[in-house]
Amino acid sequence: MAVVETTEGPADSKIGWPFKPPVVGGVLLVLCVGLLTLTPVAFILLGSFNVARPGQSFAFGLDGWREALWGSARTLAAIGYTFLLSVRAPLAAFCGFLIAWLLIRVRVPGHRLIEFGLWLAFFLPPLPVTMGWILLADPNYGLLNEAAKAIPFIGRRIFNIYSVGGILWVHLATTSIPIMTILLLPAFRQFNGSLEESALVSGATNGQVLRQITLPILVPAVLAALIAGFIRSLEAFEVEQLLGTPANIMVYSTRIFDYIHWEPALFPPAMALSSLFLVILFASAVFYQRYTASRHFATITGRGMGVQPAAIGALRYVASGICFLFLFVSVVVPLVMLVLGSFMLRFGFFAVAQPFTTVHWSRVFGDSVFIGSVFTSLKLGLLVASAGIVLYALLAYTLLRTRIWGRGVISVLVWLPWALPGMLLGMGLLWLILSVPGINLLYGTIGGLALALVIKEMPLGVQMLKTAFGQIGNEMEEASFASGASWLVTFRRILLPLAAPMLVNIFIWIFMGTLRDISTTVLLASPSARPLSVLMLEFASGGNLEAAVVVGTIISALALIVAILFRRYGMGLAPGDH
Amino acid sequence: MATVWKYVALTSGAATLIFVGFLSEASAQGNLQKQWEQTLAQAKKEGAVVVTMSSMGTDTRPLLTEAFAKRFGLQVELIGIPGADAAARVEREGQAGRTTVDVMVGGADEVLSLLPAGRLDPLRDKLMLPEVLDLSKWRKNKLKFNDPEEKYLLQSSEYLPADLIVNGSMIKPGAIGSWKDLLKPEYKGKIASFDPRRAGAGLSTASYLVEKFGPQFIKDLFLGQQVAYTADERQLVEWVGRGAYTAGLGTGSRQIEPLRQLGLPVERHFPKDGPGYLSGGPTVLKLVKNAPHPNGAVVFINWLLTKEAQEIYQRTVATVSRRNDVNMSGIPDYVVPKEGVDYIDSYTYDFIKETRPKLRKLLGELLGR
Repeated sequence: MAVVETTEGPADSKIGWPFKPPVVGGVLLVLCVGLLTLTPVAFILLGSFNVARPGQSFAFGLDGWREALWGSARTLAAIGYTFLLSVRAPLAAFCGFLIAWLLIRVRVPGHRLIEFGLWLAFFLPPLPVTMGWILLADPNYGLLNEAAKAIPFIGRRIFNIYSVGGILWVHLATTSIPIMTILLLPAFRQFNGSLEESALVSGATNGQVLRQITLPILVPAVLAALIAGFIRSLEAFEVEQLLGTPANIMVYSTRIFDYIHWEPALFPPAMALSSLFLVILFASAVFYQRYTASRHFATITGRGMGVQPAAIGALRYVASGICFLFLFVSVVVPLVMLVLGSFMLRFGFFAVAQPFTTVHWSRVFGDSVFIGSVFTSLKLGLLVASAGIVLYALLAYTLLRTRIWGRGVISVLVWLPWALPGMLLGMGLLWLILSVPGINLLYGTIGGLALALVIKEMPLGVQMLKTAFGQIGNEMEEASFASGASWLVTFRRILLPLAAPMLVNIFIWIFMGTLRDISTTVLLASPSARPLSVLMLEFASGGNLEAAVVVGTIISALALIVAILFRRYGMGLAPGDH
Repeated sequence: MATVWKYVALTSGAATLIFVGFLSEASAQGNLQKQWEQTLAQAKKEGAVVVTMSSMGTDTRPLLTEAFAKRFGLQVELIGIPGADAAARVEREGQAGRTTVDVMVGGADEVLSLLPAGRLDPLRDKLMLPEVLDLSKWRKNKLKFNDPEEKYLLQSSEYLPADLIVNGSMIKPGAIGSWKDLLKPEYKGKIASFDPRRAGAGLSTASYLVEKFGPQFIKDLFLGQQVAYTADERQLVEWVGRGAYTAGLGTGSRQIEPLRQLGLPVERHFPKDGPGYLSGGPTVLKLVKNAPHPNGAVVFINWLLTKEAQEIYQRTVATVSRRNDVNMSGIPDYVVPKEGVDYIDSYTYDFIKETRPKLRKLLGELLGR
């Protein structure tokens, strides 16, 4: 019978860091990580107490907090709606877990195609996808409503995209479930099938195996993905802005946006309101830390990895059908809308004379900065993803496998970039890169922007890699050291290949995040380096949404190409059949 | 005889004064010309000029960049960036002594933020081109500044935003003669607006209406008539164009014209009792203090105020230049302010500093914020 090993962490670990790390090393690491992650947050927190007039030095006051907490009766309602809408995080985690299990453990028919479809959903630009759903389910002219009206036994419009249900639907179908599945897939891939087989041989049912073996072992990965999804749901903004306003649904992030875009901007209340993020994130980080401290289960051990599909009989086909139906809704429909939209004179207007055109594509390709923007985006994406993956892997390894001083503090610090909504984090990072001696040399260079984006993506990268490393048994490294390999060789040739599935996903995630990022890029990009996201913003704010859709489509296509190439290369590094 | 000599003396004196005047003007012009040439030469040494624009039309960047390069052989980096982000960036860069932006083109809010923070340089004394300084070429024979000293924020356009649009196929001509007609029962649930509780065109329209008709009208209109809100101007205009709503409040010609060109019945409507308010939109020029390319910045600001540049800029950003010699073809008539009409000017310093916050506070109390 296979044995589930608990990687108890550093206290019981005899291997890992080849020398006993000094306290000074820990202090230095705390300082370095703190400098990068705590400084922007501290700046925003400090700013919330600043009541000085423009140009005057800092003056302490609570005006920002008063405005944020009592300035508007609707703030409370907004917070309520935010939590109501965040219910999609556990829903998506549940669905994502189930789909990942079906794809990896059951291997339902068409599992490769389904996985590719989920990646495609992840790459679709959110704004045109949301507009596509408006076109389908607007209560006044939505195509689905017109169809429902024409059906005799219905005879009326039944969908309203401007509602809590509509917002939840768009999030779940287009982003939440695909992303959650993508985050969980590597954890399933690193799962030793013999554990489940042993349970089955001992007489357990599939359901019992799922509940008592699979789920507990994957708790760290599920929890990290769940917290990521929850925090991201608090930050979500565009869909709520577009679909929530007509229904008078305002969320926390739209309140912050309103303060920042007031005339002139009201930063102190925005900063004060964003502190709610900090409280929630801190609580989540501490909970995650404590809950997973003794729950990293090694599923990749020296005994080999058997992955036999779970037998669920003919249900495999039903499950596969449901997955394909989900893909049709979450990928095919938005993709058709996206492509159609980019070729329409005006998105969604089919009844006008000559509704289709290639003018938006010509405009984008003919723009003198377009080619430069493509190269800037690619360069930036590859730089951030490469540098990020190395940094996150080292940090994750240090936190999980070494006895370095201050691990608990560092574990919380790496969550901090998520303590601020993107709009304010960009400000904090701008302040960090302009103000901190040494780092300020990078301002205006692609290196400065890359550093900011590496910090921004740190929470997800480090947490998910921690779960990946946590699944790798200690004896693999022990064997390597016993064979005379150095720590660096062991890390490079044993650990990284074994964690390849997660590394690949994180790399693609960061790459995509970098290509799409606007809030940080727009503040830190040097004038001559204009990434595609800034070009897209220019088109959108100039009223040419169709051209912006074209740029969004190109961003998605670029990310997809890099993803395919990197997956092919990255998965090739992993042992076994992936 | 004494009278004759008196006349001769007076005439000679006047002639001398006029001559001296001509001479000094010619000399001043000569000095300006010399100063301009020196600035231009220095600008060429500096290389590119960096300009942020809070709102650009689809062709603004390529057309302005190309024309500027053709005229002066200089490169301009135009960055489209929301006004609040641009101001935050300039403020932080200024604090750190690492300014990368030369010129900002956007709204006038910086009169309350960057200007008191000392992040702007005066630009009035940097205007050198004769066609810019010729006040007869500007509306009301003056350059319009938005700051009290009249030298930092220069407003290059003045136009009428679209307070009220209607679906022409749903409303008979003359049906809305007065703003108060919108309170009729047939419009209940049939009016949409850009959310007046947020910054943007809806708030500007609501501010205008509360100033014009008082708080009760606002409550009757927005709450009593159950006005539907959107946070997207494009969506607002499409709602009206598709007939989902009869009337829309708070948008601009840049959103209306594309739908009109597609043949949709979106019309700008002017109730007689409220002709609208004047706006400068995103066309206010600001010179950033310690600009990295100070001479290039001066060249760009001067050029952007010329007839050539204003024609490009006005057409692509869909506003109305304050220059009175630009070609108006392609500019919809409904955005052009009419002579003799009493508009409220929302771009004066007093309005921005005093009236606007007061109105917005009132609107916040009336509609919630």
